[in-house]
Amino acid sequence: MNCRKARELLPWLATGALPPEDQAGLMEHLAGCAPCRAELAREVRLAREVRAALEGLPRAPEETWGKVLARTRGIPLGKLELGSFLMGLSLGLSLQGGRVPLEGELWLLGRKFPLFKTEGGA
Amino acid sequence: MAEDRELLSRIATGDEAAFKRLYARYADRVFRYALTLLRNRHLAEEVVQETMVAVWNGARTFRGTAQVSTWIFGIARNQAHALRRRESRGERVPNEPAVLPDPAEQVEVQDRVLAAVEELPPEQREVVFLAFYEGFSYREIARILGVPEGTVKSRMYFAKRKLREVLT
Repeated sequence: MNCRKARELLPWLATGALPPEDQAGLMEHLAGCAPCRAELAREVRLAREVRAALEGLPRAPEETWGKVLARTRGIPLGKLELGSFLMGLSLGLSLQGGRVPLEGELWLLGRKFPLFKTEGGA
Repeated sequence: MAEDRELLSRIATGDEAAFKRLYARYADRVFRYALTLLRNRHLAEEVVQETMVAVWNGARTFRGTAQVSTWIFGIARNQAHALRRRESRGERVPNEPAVLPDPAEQVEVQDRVLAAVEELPPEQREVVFLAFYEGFSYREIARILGVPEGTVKSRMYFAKRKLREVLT
């Protein structure tokens, strides 16, 4: 492996994401090449600094989960529940982006288990 | 990651708790990725929404040939590009400047690094994000971006050169 090829791979060695098949050749090159070892030290520093800076970017807004949930649950159209708290079955229809899927759930001791969900057409 | 695959297979059966857990693992990461690409908080939030809805609807279609993270970031990238195209057709009016954290809350070096990353062309910025923040290999990044591995390496090479010019 020459220096040019080695330096292409250094960023991924610095982040620990170098594919295994590249490792032996790169390590062998680094063992005999002081300039590339110095370059690796700079790569590690740069990777650490960039990561720390990107960590400073804002996080997803708190309310986004609610919006996602509203879209995946859709608008309830109707629900049929049979049984009791101990055990029961529910069938629900909802409007989800132009589709009307039917969902079936089993209730057992207060816990909900999804049974099936139809596509509901386009 | 095995936990991601387990969560995704539960999501495919309609398990909302699994979906919430996967959302918690990815929402901030996808948001920051979208922010890096689009530099607009509102659009980045839209990308998170669209990506996670696509994950919910498409969990059953995940073939398992890639990592779940690669799949999710690939969806996020497609959504970000779709939004960008929509923006460029004038269907929306972007009203927010490039997003940088409040300088008062950041140490000086982080400001300089972030500003330098912001100055990179978008195709280099996303490689830097996916490699240095997400820790993806060049192979995984090539898969997310749909470009040859050599392209990823060369984008990284030019990105680093620019970053060093600014940071040294």
